[in-house]
Amino acid sequence: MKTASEDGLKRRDFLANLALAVAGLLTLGGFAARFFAFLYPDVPPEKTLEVPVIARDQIPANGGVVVNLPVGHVALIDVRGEIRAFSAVCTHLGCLITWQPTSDHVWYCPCHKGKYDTEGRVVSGPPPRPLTRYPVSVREGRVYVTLKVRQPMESA
Amino acid sequence: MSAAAIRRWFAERVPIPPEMLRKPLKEELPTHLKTWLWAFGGTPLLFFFIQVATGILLTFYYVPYPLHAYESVRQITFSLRFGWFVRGIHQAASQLMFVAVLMHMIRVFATRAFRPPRELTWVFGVSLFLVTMGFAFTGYSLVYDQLSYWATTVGTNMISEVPLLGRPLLYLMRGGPDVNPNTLSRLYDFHIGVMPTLFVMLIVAHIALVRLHGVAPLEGDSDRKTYPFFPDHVLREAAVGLVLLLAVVVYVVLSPPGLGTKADPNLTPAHIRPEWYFFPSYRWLKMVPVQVGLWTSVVFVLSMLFWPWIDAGLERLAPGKKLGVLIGTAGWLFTLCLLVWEALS
Amino acid sequence: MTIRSQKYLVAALSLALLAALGAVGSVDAKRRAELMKTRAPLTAGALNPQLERGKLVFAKFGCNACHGAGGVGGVKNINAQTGGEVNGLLRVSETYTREELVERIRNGVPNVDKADPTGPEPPLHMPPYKDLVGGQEMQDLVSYLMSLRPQAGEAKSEAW
Repeated sequence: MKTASEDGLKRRDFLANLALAVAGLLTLGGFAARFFAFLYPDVPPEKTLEVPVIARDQIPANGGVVVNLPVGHVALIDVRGEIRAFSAVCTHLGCLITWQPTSDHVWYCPCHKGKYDTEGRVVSGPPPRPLTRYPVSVREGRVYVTLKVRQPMESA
Repeated sequence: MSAAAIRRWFAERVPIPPEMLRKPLKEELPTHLKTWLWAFGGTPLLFFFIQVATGILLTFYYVPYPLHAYESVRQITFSLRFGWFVRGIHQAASQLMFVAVLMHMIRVFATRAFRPPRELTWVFGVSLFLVTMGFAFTGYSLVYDQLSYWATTVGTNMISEVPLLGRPLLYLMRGGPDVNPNTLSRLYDFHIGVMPTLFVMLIVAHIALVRLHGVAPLEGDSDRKTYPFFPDHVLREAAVGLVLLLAVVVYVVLSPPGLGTKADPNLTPAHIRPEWYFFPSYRWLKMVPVQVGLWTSVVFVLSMLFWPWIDAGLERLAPGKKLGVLIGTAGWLFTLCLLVWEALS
Repeated sequence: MTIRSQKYLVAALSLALLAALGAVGSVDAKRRAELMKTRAPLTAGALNPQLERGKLVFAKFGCNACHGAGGVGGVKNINAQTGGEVNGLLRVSETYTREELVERIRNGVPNVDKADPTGPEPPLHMPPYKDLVGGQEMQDLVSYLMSLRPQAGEAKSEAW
């Protein structure tokens, strides 16, 4: 038969164990939170910016070129005098497209043989979406493209 | 899903005999362990775990190549979230680990717990102390500031004083004739690969021996009162550990780590000194010729390693005169004097 | 001390540690706020490929030999008034216009001011670059220099 004091003893023991467990877990959690924040990269925010990319005359007539900037890769194409800008990153898995004008496509992705046309639409292959299109402005012989950019990550 | 069912599931798959599990927990420890003097056994291990944790975190950002190393340490200390905190703990805990190992060594020495049959425990213990010094030396070299670079140059130059093998050993350590990018890679590898492995092997051997022998009884102590390891001693060690952790964290908050000037291979700074735990050797080497300094240091380390036998020999030489305690204490005091002298100059 | 009270002691110490971790959080937040102030804002200029070209011009003409890699300074110039060192370039955007910078690069600094007038002549001075750098290269170089910013946590100069 349990006496009242035995019950009280058990409860006091349980409380002490509980206090210990809760305090311990919270503190462990505190350290874990700090260390996780340390490891999680400091990703700079994205900003929409108009960036000078290339001189107008460097894009051949009815031709295309891929420009690699520190903050992105831009595919430019001249279609009967109109300059169009796309992201040069294949929408499938991130490889860079190349200019490869043929009868059915102009951009080719070597990784999984994705093909895009002059409007950035997928002609064949696995890419799920058309190429991202960027607004273009040509001023004083320079081509400006409006991109979403991030500052490059800080590193040693 | 009762607790008993879970326990049974586990016991079937990890068949540890229940006695083997219960024995270390139920172990009865002599009550002389209840004093604070005996709290220092577990603290080096606690600090080792802290160093491994913070060290691993640091390796996510540290780059072991000259100049990049400095920049990565700068990034950690000033740019990254909680970088100052992780690095600060790593620095502060390394100093405290040193102190903890030293205090433990002194306690074991003073109580002559290295007496037979515990000599090997002592040998492993001193080896752990030497590895700790190795950690400290290689660790600081990785920052690649002026102190790092020149301390590495001087420290590795010591090796070349060894007759015959000196030069090849030096080239091996440095990965070349001068301090070069290979040197940094080697020091890094020692710090995060070789020495942690050595340390773990040694500590397992050390603790296994302590558990197997049981805690050394105090000399002349006939009082055999005991208390259980779990939960009494565990709680005691947890309290001590938490106090130390708290001290470290508060210290780092109040005094966050900084950074010296970048290493310049063309300029030895006017006031160059190693870290405080190397002061005794540093002062000694300033006083005596290099060869003398080298060989006396070797003798000193060897006598530390083999102290149980030296002590036993001294006891046979002059029974009851406690020559071992006298000479050993003289050695500790001499080292302390060198340390203080260097610190004050 | 009974086992139970020891448990409460350990729990209390744990919570003290937790509180300390909280302080760590606010200290870190403060540091980051300071850090964000020194971060250069992201502008189209910062992404200019011209800056990459300017960086190459800087290296091509050996500017880093005296002004330090990336213009951080730190190269000794005994008795120079600029702190005994060749001046760094991280703050030129604050004190020079583009035209002034072009002039400086073209003409160099034939006489470096002495820190101690009775002391020795500083060994390093800047030669004129007008016959070496011009046109597009000069513009690229100046754009690069104007984009330099001081970094967070510049090490204080200590004995070592």
